[in-house]
Amino acid sequence: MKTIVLVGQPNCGKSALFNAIAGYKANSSNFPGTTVQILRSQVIYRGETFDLVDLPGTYSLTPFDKAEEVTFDFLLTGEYDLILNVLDASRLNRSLELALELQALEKPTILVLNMMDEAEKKGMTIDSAALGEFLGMSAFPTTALSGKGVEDVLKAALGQLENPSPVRPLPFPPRLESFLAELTPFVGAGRVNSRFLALKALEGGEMEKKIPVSPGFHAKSEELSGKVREFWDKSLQEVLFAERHHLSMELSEKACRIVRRQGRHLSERVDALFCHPLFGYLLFVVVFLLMLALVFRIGNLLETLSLAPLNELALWVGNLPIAPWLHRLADGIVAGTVGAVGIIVPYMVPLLLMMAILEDSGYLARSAFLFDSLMHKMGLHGKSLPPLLMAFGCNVPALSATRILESPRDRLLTALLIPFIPCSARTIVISALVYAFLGTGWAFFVYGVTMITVFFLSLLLSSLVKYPAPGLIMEIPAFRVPSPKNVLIKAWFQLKPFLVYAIPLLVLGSIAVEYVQFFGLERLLNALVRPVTYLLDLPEATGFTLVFGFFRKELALLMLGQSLGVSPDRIAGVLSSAQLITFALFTTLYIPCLSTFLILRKEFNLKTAWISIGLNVAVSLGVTLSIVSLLRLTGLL
Amino acid sequence: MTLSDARFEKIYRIVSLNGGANMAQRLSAMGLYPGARVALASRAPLCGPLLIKNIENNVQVALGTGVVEKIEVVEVEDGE
Repeated sequence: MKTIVLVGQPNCGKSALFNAIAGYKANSSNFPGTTVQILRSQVIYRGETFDLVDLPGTYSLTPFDKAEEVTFDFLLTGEYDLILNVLDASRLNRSLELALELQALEKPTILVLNMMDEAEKKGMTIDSAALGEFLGMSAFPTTALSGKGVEDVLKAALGQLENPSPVRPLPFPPRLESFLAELTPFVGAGRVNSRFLALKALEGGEMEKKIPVSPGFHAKSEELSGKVREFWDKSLQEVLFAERHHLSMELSEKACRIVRRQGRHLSERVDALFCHPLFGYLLFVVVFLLMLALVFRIGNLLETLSLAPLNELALWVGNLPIAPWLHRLADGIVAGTVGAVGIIVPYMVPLLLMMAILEDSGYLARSAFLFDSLMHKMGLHGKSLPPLLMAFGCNVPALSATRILESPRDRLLTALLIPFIPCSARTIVISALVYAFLGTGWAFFVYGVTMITVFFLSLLLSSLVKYPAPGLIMEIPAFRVPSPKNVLIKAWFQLKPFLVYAIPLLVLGSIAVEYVQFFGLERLLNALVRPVTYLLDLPEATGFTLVFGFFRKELALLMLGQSLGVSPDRIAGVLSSAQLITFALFTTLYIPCLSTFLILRKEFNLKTAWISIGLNVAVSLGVTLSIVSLLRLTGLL
Repeated sequence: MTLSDARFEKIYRIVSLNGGANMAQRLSAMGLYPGARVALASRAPLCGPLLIKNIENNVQVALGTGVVEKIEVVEVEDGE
């Protein structure tokens, strides 16, 4: 099957284009580096089937972080038939530098000038046909978010798959080309053309591992660089870079006219306020408190609405005249369903919607700017903050998002901190136990404790692994009013796996609890976990819920009611306030859930995943114990 | 002067990027190359990063203090 690959700079709308073509599969946000791994989808269009591949955004073909490396490595395999080079039309000259680099691959290419709406807002008029002509390929204007122009791109793409038209790179000045030609024999025939490989091999460094060269290469490149120095007073690589830069400037001047606007755009004024050295922080606090408060409120309202009929159902099932062993099955199914639909979904929906709005508006990237110096004091980096904030939605995508961090050390530290951030599942535990029974103040208190834990843990961990943090270089995307469609789809995109995979797991888990109790096995599990429950002063019966909590954190909540023999909304009758806070705080911190463990293993290795578990268990015990004893001593509980 | 001394409401032109080749290449790829005009959009407190606006393409980039010190600029008259 033929393969079409989407390549472009970060935040240029590749994923939006991917979704416009393949249906909603990719996560698109207003955040550079949303796509950090390869996404593939089979597409059927007008009877033709092809593979569409979305690659992480890359500023250039010299990879700087893990995500960019993924893109470069894929392009180096040569296993694709057509490149859709997505350019952000509103940042044309910069996008063209990558276009020129891609051109050197000499693969059939179509230029997609995306974000034409943004470009027009900036007063830019772009002659896409002329641009295509200069580069020797066809070019189409699009606005992928609304789907405008996507049809034309697809038609042209199918045409290209049938009769590919070769692409010739715009040549460097003859003298440089002849130097390059002298180098090509040393890189041999790879799966992409050798001129491109020679260009890349000249960069040295990491490229040496990716592009094998025969022994004479270095001597030759030294010799040529010597000649180049005589002429231009620069190294060969610097000259090539300058040439490409010059060419892209020239191209954008030829193809684009700019009419300067007067005055500041509204979004710029909003931006100035959100990035203001004082108001920026106030707004940040307001935004987050408001978000949490809304999640608690709306969630609680929805919960009350949905629990009433579900409890009726539970009562009815409870009185069914069936055999005891069958009764356990029915009870388990009901408990699982009631918990998932009645308690978890109501909190999850508002939280996911609000995270989607934050991501789509471009706010997450601004937090990196605002908090860079604070993050440096924690031994981290401003860029670590967006993944940490994403973790409030779910830790799993947040762990993948750490790929935008350039240094492996920062990436590891951020990844070890992420499991301490209360994700939607844990927010639900906090809401259902602390907010519902003890009020907003205590819910924020539990949140506050986890934040302070993350802060000090970061200080501790970073002092163990000292390393000068690289300077912050991060693009801040334009503020955008989130598109309701994209927000809804994005939230649905995250809710769907929950409905499909997590609900059955929760139901199975609840059934398991019923039978564990039926056969009296819980005593064994409870005894195993007794040291922990004893230390934390929790009823022995809650022990096995903590074991099951490893699979999903919400499960611990659902089972808590079951283990104590009451429905989830009556737990406060059995547990004291201190125990409620202990259980919520401990469940929030104690262990990364199974999915988090698996993604840690995948993104890093098994050792890191185990370290994460060890760290969480130790820290959660320490923090929960000290906080609860502190509250007792001060008489607050 | 370097970009770290930039003041609000002024426009600067990048003269050179003095860091390692890696950083210079990164900045250029993001549109901050010698010749590009930039302005200060915001400055985070406590020696935090600077928010630099690229006049050429209206892109904003957050740059840490260590990075802005390595970007040499000259002030230009508005509209030049």
